[in-house]
Amino acid sequence: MENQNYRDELEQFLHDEVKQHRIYPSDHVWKNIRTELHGNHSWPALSFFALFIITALTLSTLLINHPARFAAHTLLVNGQMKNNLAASADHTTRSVQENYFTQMASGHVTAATLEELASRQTATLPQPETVPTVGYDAVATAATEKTMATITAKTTNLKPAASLITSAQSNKTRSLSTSSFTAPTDNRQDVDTANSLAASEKAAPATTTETTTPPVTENTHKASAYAYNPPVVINQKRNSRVGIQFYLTPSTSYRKLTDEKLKEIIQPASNAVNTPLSQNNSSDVNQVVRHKPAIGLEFGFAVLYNMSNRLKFKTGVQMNIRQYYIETFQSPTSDVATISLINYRGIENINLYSPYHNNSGLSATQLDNKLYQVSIPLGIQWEIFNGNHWGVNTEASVQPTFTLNKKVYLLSTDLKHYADGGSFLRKWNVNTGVGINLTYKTRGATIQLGPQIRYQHLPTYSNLYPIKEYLLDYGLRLGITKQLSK
Amino acid sequence: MTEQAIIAGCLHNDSAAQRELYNRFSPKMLSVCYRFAQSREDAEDMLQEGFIKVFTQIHTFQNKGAFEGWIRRIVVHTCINFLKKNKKFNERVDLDYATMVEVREETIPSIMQARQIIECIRLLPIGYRTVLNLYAMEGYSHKEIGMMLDIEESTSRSQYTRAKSMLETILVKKKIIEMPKEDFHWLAAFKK
Repeated sequence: MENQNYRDELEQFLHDEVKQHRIYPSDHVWKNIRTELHGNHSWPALSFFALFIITALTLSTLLINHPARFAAHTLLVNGQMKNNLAASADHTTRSVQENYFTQMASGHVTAATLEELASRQTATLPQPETVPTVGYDAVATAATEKTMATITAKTTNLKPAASLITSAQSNKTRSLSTSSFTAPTDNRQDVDTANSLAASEKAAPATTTETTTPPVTENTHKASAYAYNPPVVINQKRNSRVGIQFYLTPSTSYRKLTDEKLKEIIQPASNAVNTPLSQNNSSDVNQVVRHKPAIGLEFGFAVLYNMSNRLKFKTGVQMNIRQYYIETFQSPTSDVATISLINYRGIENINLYSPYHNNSGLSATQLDNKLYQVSIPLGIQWEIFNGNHWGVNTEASVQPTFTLNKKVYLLSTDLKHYADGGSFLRKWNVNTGVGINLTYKTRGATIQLGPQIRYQHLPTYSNLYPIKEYLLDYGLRLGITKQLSK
Repeated sequence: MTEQAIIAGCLHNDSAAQRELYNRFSPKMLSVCYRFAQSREDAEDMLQEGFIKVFTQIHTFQNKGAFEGWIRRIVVHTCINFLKKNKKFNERVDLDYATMVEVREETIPSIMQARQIIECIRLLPIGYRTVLNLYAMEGYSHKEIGMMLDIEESTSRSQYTRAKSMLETILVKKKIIEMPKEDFHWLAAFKK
């Protein structure tokens, strides 16, 4: 460059005055540079909030509003099924059938009819499974009460006797011996059966002379269907082992700072080289800074699995908003805030610029350090006392946590300034929550209320930063749990 | 953090080292950009592009010469490219218009004069201003300026002369400098 050796007065004047001039850029410049170099890894908090709410609502809608499925206990009956319909302990098949069919279609059903039905049932119908005793009781209960159970009958290829009775009913003038089992005029498969029954009826002496046709009700059809080994479906509502819970916990966040590494490593090193950090600060960092707790919020939904009557496994998704206030002073200009980091190369000082002073300044101001976190709690819930309505339970969980923040205020290692410490924020952390709840069971759900403590195990900032911050939340949890039904 | 540690960290794409480099040199570089730009926003855009190039091309730094000088050259070339891309070289401003513009007051007394001088430089037409910055402030030759701005070397010389005269007039009118005495002025010496 040819003019390096010669400058006139004006050029020299300009060079001297302007060359060392500085203008401090806006924050967004560095953010854009960082995003260009490293990408945007942070999760937009608003998008995640929306996704969380949509997921929670969708999941709860699917699980809670899904049509209740009733457990079906299919009871297949062979000749033993008839025993269940008897009120007495006598399980003889013929007596049960006789009692029942006589009741349903008295005058039409004879002993010969029953014998024929039983013989055909054995010969042509598949052998059903044996039904456990409880099912028989349920069937008996259902048949008599007609409230808890609905009975559906499957008919086989053979037309049940009830239909024959129905056919007979259409002709009121027919006598039992000759017309009770008049074959239907259509070409159904049961024509042969009806004819054969009629033939057998003719052969046997008529035991009844009634010609009136008993009223054929719906039960008649169903009852006669039992003779042909229909499966009986018992509908019974049962609770599943899984429950879903929504909870909300207003809480207060406290922070604790430790400066052991600052006193052991940073301060001795700075004293040795007489850097700006050189100061003998023997007081505890918690006494130097001024901060006060603020109200935060925790909310989420969880799925509980009953491992036993008292013990439940619990997991879900949870959002935490933790905050505390820092009392500082603000100056009109920005000063250098030095952050000393400890790494494998030793101590490295990073200079940031901040108008916030810890001890003095033009005007007092309050900074709000707010953390947005999402976590997946994994824990257990133990029922200490479980009454009809009231109960007490306790719960504990470990919560892997991800911090969504981009910006937090960080104390400089000389304890004099607060600067933007977003670059040093630890994204992944681990929290532990414990609590005890008073529960109240209503018809559909369980409401619980109780205190809770949540403690952050790892420091808020990177291990490189010598001042460690730990957060502790005290809150009151309000939750509602609904047990799902199968 | 030493300069070598910063360079080593940036070579490894260490964000802390990059932040330290940015904090250390961005104020000076923004001042450079501000002299070339039409506005503060343009200056920050130039600075942003310049530092991205610094971080992506840091592996080309060969430890010959000062690191700051290397960064400054990248930033200056970024400013020129920005102005070319935004077609900022076609403006014409006469001297009278330049002298009518008020220079903003500086709040910090210690740098008031420097800031005022910069504002006076920014009053010049963009072509004059660019040549003045490159020649007087950054030390480029007219030949190099011609290659950078795609103009003739003679054009660069004439524009620089006009820029210097214009700036001198502005500085005198703003009472930042006194009218140079004729016997020390190179034109006066020539006339004599």
